[in-house]
Amino acid sequence: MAGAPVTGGRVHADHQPKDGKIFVLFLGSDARSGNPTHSRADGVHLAGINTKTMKGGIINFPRDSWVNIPGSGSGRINEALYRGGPELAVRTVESITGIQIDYWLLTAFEGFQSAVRDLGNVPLEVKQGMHDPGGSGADIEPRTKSLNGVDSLAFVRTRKSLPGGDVSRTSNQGRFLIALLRKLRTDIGRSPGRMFDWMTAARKWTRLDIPPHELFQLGVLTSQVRSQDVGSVTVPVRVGSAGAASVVFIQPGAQSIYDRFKKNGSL
Amino acid sequence: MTTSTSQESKRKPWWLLAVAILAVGGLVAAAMAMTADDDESSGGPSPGIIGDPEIRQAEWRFTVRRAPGKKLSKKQRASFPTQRKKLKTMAQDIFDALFLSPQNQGKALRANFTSSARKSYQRTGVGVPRGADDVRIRRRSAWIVIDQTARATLSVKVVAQGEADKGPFATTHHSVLYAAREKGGWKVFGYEVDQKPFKKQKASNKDDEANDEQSKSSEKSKKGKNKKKRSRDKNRGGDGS
Repeated sequence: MAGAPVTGGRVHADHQPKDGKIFVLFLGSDARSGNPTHSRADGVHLAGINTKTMKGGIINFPRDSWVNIPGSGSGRINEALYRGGPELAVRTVESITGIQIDYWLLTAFEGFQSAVRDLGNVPLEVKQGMHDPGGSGADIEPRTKSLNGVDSLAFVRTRKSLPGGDVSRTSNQGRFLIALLRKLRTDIGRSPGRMFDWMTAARKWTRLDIPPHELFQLGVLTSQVRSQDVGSVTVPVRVGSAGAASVVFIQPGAQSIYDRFKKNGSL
Repeated sequence: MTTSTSQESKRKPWWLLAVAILAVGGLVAAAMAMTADDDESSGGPSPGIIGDPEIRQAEWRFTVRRAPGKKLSKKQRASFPTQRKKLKTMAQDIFDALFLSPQNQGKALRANFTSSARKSYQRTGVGVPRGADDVRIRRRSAWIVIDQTARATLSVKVVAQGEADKGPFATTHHSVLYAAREKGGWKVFGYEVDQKPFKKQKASNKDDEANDEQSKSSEKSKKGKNKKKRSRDKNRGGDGS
C-alpha cells in the first residue's frame, strides 16, 4: 500500500505578519440603510487567527461598554464608529486591548441580510425560540437549526427577549461569527471555488479595508481554521451609569483576556 | 538554345546540392534522435520518468469556470483564455511530476509554488511512495475556478497505482491549490491535501475492470458514510461557541 495517509493544509501568504497573528475588527452598524460608516455599531468583535497554530478567537464587546475613545473623550464603544468611522473604532479597540488590528470589516442591516441570502442559510442551532415583534422582529421557533438572511439579522439583533439583554446579544453575535466560519469551511470543503462567492458577498455587502488579493489569502487562511478551535469570549462587564446614560463598565478581568489573545492570537 | 541549356546545366548542381544537404541533415538528426531513444530504453525508464511509457495513462479532464461577481474588463476578458491555459498547464506540470516523474517534482513545485508553500507541500510527502515504478494514472482531473484573472482555486484529483519498494500500491489524491497571479505568473500560496490508499492492490493485476468496480463501490460506500456523517453533524447542530 502507499505510505501513510496525508492530510493537511497550509497557507503561506506573504502578507502574514512574522509573529503569525492576524486581527480583524468586525463592526455591525445599526444603520438600516444609507451610509453605515457614520452610524453606531451594535456589534463590535475583535477576531484573531494564529497562522502557526491555526487556532483563533473572538472577543465580543457589548455595545454599551463605556470606554475612552482616542481624541474624543469617553463614550460608549458603539459611538466610536459614529464619531470617526471605522478607523476610530479600530483605534478605540486597539487602545482598550493593546492589540494592533490589521483589518476591519463593516456591515449594516441590509448588507448583512443580503450577504446571508446570497451565501445561503447559516447552520446555527437556536435552542430557545426568539420572539421580538416590537424590536428586532425576531420570530424564530425553538430548535431552529439554520437561519436565513432575515432570521440571521433578527438573531444578531435580538436583546429584549434575552435574559442577559445586550450582553447576551453580544455573545450571540460571537456565536454567529463562528457559525459563519463553520459554513465557510463546509462550502469550501464541497467546492473550493465557493471562496469567490464569499469574496463577492464580502465586497458587495460590506465595507472593508482588505485588498482583493489579501482578502483571498485571508479567506483561505480562515477556511483552514476549525470552528471548534475558535473561542468566543464576551468581555466581563458590570452594569452602571455614566451621567444619565445606562452603560456597562468593562471589568479588570478583561485585561487577562486581552493579554492572552495578544500573545496567542487565539482564545 | 545552347546558351540556355548550358545555363540550366550550371544551375542544376546548386539545386541538387541543396537537396543533398537537407537529406544528409535529416539523416543526421534522425540518427541522433534514435541514439537518444536507445539511451533511454537501454537504461530502463529515463531518470525523470517512472511510468512505463507503454502504460496508457488516463487523460487529463479539466473543468474551468469563471468566478461570479464583477464583470471582467476588456483587458481581463482578453487575458482569460491565456490564464486558463496557464492554470491547466500548471496543474499538469505539478501532478504529472508528483506521480510520474518524482525527480522533476522539485522543479515543478519551484516553478509553481511560493517558496514557503513549496517547502511545506513537499514535506507532506504527497505523490507516489518511494521506489515507485510502473505507475499507472487511472484518473486525473482538475476543477479550476478563476476570479478576475488574478486568483484561482484548483481542485485536483488523481488516482494512481503501481509498484513500490514495499509492494503494489494504489492511492487516491485530492489537492486544493490556492493560486494568485503575481508578476505575470501564477503562484500557489496555500493548499489543502488529502491522500490515502485507494484500496488493496491484488497481486495479479489482470482484471482492471473488476478493480474499477471495486473502486466505484468503495467510493459509493464512502459517499454513504459521508452522507451519514453529514446528517449526524446536522443533527448535532452545535454552536461551536
